[in-house]
Amino acid sequence: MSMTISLADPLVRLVLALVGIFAFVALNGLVLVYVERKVAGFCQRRPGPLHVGPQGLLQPLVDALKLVGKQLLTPAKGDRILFWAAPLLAFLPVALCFLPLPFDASLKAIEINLGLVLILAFSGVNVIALCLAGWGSGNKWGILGAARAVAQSVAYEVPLLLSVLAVAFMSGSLDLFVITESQGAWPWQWYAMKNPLAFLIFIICAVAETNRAPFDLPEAESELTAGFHTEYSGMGFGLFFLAEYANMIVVSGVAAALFLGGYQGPVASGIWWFLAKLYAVLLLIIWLRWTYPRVRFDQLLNLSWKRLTPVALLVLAGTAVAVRLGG
Amino acid sequence: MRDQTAAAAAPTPPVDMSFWGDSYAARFEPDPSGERMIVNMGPQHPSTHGVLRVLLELDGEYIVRAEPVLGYIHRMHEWMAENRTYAQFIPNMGRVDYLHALAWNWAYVGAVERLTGMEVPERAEYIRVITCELNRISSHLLWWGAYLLDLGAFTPIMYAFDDRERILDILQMVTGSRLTYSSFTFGGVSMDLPPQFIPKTREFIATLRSRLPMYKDLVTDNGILRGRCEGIGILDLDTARRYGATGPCLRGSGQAYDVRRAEPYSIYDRFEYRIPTESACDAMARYYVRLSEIDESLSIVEQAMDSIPEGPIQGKGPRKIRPPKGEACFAVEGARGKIMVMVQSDGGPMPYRVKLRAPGFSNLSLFAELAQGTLVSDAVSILGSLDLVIPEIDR
Amino acid sequence: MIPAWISQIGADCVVPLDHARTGQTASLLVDRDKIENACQVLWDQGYHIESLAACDVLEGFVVRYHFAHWTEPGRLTLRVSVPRDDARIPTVSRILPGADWHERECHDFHGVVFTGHPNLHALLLPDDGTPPPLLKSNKARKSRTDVLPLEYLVDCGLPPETQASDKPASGDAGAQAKG
Repeated sequence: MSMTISLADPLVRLVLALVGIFAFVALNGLVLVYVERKVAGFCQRRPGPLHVGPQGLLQPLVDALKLVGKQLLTPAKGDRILFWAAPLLAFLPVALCFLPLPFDASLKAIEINLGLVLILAFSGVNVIALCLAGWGSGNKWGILGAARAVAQSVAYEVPLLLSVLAVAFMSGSLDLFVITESQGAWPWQWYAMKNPLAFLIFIICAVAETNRAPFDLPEAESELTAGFHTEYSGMGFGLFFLAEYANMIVVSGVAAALFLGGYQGPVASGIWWFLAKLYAVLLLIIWLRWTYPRVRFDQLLNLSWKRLTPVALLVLAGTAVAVRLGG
Repeated sequence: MRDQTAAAAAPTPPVDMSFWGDSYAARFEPDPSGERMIVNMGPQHPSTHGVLRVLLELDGEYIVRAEPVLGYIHRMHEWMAENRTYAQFIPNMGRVDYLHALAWNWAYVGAVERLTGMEVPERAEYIRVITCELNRISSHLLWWGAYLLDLGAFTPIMYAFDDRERILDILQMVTGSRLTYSSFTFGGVSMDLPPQFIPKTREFIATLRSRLPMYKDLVTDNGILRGRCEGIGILDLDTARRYGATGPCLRGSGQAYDVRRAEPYSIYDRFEYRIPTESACDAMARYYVRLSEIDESLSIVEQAMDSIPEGPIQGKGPRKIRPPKGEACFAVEGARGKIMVMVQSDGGPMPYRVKLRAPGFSNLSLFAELAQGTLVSDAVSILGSLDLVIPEIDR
Repeated sequence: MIPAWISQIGADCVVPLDHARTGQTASLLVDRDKIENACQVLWDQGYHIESLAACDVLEGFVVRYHFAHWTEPGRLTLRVSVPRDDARIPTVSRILPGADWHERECHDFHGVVFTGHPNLHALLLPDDGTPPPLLKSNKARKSRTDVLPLEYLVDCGLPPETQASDKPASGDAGAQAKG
């Protein structure tokens, strides 16, 4: 076995991909912080960040520096190990979720034909992190937040999976590349148009899974102060923050690949199409946050168990029938 | 040292301070089964708007018991009143309820005027009505934004502050301050309307009128908001009366009780306005009442500006007030309900006793009953719908 | 204008007042044993409690209960006088839960004890045994005839002379309070 390092070596590709992904996540985190604040400003008729750098472009960097510079405090009644394991556990699995994302036809980190399953599996780890954070804080608001996070995550994973399965039925694969390729370049060839209900359910569940308003109950500021991350300071909070944005990017990426035709576009297919669609979904999620009030916890669960899950089941059944008849 | 006789008679049991927390938490004993959790909501909590603290006993997220703990911003205004001359106490009135300061100004000034039998010139009455109603609108707007913030909508407060800022600009012209107004004087007001006041106010009224429908479309008709408010915090009339609730809280329960009508003061009988009521008794009803009141106040301001006469703004009277022996009560309708000030005089230069009746005090005292058995999220919604200003409650 | 049912309250005296001058329609001097009954009668007549305020005078405390009605204009004031060395009044918080906090506040400010109150703890002030802040110093304390117009009292057969004899005794109590 030669010692030459080759791009064909899967391990090398993996390491390179992980480095690339961390860079991508960090960069996108910064961009998203800026975008989020600018969009918030736009929604609220104010300029948003303006003074650090041109048009406030350096504001996220300064925010990050501030977070890094803050003292890390461990609550006296907390569980030290769980408390600090939680933010890491929140962030690391999300990074793995980027591996199977189809950025471009040839841009792939790992060769895997079960990419969708990998993403769903690793995104499920996130809730354990929130649970540990709430428990390890030794704070009652934190525990309430953690309990909400678990219930919410379990509730919304079901319709999310069902809606994703509908797409898998249509494309006959769990490989994100195959799913992307099975759609065409034009919007009417996308699964979002062919199966709009599944897309709608996916978007609602994606917002809920990433704990974004109007489903930000685990951290509901005005109810639970900050929920599971009440006790975190500095980068402890920063990692949760980053994980939230990374999660948003993942679900938006998945949405782009599954429903919006991924990297294919009417002209010049490529990574820019993927990023453009990804950011379109992100903007939608951000827009929702600055527009809607928060739902109540029982309303949230009722929405999932009583509305979305049955509808998703029907959609799945309908899709199966349609695929069978059409195929 | 406490008054010995009173202390000896007090039924206060010895408080075990070794219990973690403080004496309030110590008295708030948890359920022996250990299934329930005691949580402090406040004094520093995003939705208690200041320094209210509510002790909650939770079963899961359901509230078994709630008890507000007051006093974190208590300033003993009533003691201050007894140690100042009558006029020196007016600035305090700007600080009791900083959102509707002019109503407190009016209640105190009115009580002293009643006690001394002072006459207020017409123009001053009109100025009082105009400024007080504008102040009421600004208070309701701030409530609106803050309530939605409680419910998790971040954006409306920015719009509310935008409108409120215009009111503050207008009020600054005539009172000289932006928040803690103390511009009423015994027998009048301290400043006349500047010439640009009326055009600017008319411009503002037109702007706000054009924006209210947008607020309705974007916020009031939102399904999530309705889900959070409808059927939440049902306050029936009987409970309202037992606790002495007033203001929009009471009107949201269907009782058209408004001090401006029930106990007419000043020149309110000259204007045409509706007293908005809702019969649903829930948080949404209180929400509707406040939004309709903005409309009504705009109409009152317009009518007052149409008919304001020329004349002096300060009645005749001695500079140093020494009211005769006796006491007088004066009630006004504040943004949160009935504000009453009782002034008792011994004939000296300083009041003998001043009692401030804050509407929020009574309105908050029914919170424990409303919150029982609800979810934490509902409690936040109920607390917000009562429109509390903690400095007013703690005084 | 005093309604007929007022007699059910069992007030020692009922004085009609000029609303334009005092903001009240009637002042009722009530014995403390009858205060619960008085509040019950007022509740039955549709009144609600507005506020409760004590006042420190030479003779002890005068505690005022202000009542108002939703549909009828005016304000009724119940006055209960209690001596300083026995400043106890039965609580009315069972009949009117709204009085609960007002009574606690009054206990904070003046040290008046409301017997039977379910939760007579400090409400606005810290629970640290400092003297009630609104007690007057001996110098500042006035007789109740000095702070209430005579019409509130004279009609009740309480001429000012009878009050004067209390002065030395209550002065001592006041000295203790301030000590």
